[in-house]
Amino acid sequence: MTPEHFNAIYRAELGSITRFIARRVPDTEVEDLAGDLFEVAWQKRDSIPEGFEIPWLYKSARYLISNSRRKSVNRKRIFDSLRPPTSAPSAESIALADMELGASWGKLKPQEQEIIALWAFEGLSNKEISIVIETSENAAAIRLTRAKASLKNFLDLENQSELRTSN
Amino acid sequence: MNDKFEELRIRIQAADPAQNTSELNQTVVAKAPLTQKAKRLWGFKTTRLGLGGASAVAVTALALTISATLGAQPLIQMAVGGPESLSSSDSKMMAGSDEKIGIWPGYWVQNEYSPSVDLSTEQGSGNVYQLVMVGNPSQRLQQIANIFGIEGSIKEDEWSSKEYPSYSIGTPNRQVSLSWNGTGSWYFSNWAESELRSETREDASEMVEVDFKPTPELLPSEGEVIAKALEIFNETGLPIAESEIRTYRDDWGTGAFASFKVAGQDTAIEWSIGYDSTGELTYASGHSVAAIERGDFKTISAFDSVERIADGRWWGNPANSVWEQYSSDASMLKADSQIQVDPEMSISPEGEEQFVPEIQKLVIERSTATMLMIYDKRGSAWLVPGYLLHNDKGWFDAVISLEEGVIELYKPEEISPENLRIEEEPAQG
Repeated sequence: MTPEHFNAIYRAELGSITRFIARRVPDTEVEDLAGDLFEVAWQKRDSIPEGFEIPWLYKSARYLISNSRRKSVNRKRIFDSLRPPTSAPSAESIALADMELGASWGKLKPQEQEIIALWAFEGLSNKEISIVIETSENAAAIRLTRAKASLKNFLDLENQSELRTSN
Repeated sequence: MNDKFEELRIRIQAADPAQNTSELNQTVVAKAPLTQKAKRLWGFKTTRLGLGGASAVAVTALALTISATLGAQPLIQMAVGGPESLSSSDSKMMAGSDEKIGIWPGYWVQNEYSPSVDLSTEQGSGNVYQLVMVGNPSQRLQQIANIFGIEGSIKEDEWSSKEYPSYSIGTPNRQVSLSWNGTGSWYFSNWAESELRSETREDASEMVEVDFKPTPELLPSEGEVIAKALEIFNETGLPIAESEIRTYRDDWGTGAFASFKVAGQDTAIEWSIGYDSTGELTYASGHSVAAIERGDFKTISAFDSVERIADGRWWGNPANSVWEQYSSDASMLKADSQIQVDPEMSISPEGEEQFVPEIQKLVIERSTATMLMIYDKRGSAWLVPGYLLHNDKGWFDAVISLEEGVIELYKPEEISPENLRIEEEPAQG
């Protein structure tokens, strides 16, 4: 693959990747991580499946974000670093626009936040999600359904709680 | 397909924190083929501000060598960004991993800490340990794979890099992976078989709604979980007694944890196993480290350490058992804070809204000496003496107690936006 060919393919994905990273890290780190990501993509260009560049980029971005968080933003728990990489947007960033949703989002497991983000924000199909989180398509679909149900359940509880408060 | 979650998706999209993000300059892509590999030291661009990558490595190594004999150089050069523990500062706690939350209207609280007169003013000393990875990655990964009965060849992961080597063996749904940096953490995952068991799908390309129900009756007993944990932990290098294993259980799963002990103390390094609702062992994790004692160093008093809370560079990570002890109190504190906070808002001369944080005063009532985990700029993990400083709001902070000079903190200006911009200048040639 020539640099020109690489540019032609990956330049088209820059907007999606920018938003993917921006949802997950402070603004000051977005360009840095994006630069790292495309460097990796260039080095691995021959092994990236044609037509699946976007899920491949998301998958690799998760690891870069996870590594970055592990080293520089370790405030949650070291224990989190033992789990597979999770890089979902924080509940607080979502709450900036929707407090109720942010509160429910915060109750989800990191893996649930991750898969819902891939579905809702990135708009990925089950197949694409399965590549990003490295599991089978069926397992990805099941996890997504379960995560959506959990979020919906938490939102319903939030609604009920608000109703009780207002009464 | 009628998706009952479509409304949910629309709502989530409306709350997208990146919806107003500007697209990066396209040179980010164009530069990739022109970039030399491994220009960065441990992924922290700021380490290159004063030193080239190779020079920084050399200086770090030199510091480690000299400190053993002269004691005049810092033992540890802290990673930029530093280890940050969950702080009693509510704004940080609710911020999760996103520093942008500092401007979240209604949730910006600035804490002011003061020590109680009951806090000890006595100085002391404590041992420092460096955590070094044991063995080599291929042998370690093969050893773990054998334990879980996973066959295949070892492959370097696509996201593996010189700074963060990562390897795995097995299939995507059942594999062991190893990250060969820091503490050499490994992770066994076994998702597919268990998760598919209760599935009633109709079409692989289109997921049907499945009503998942937990099956707690399939979970192994606590005794069985502990026995399995003991077996796996011991085989993977964590010699531990049954009484030191902690368990959790709900309808959706069960599991066990145990802490890597150093000098008889729990540390932030943990081994774990977990079962899903079908009773299948779905994950296990651990590390590949040994603790090397690097000497006894003087520590400041608990009273004096209070002022370090406000400087995140002094934060460290305590053992997980500490977090668990405080977890319920934490949620209460969050709830209280959400009600109490009432920031003022003003208009700057430029017409921009500015939020004035609410000041919350906290008194540190007591302290507990402990061991904290931190990372240095080379990616190595360390265990250093520290204090848990318990405040009158029912939460705590964990700060390093080593006296000045043992650790070289990163400079605050290293992460300033001005310096970051310097890094973004295009490379010559």
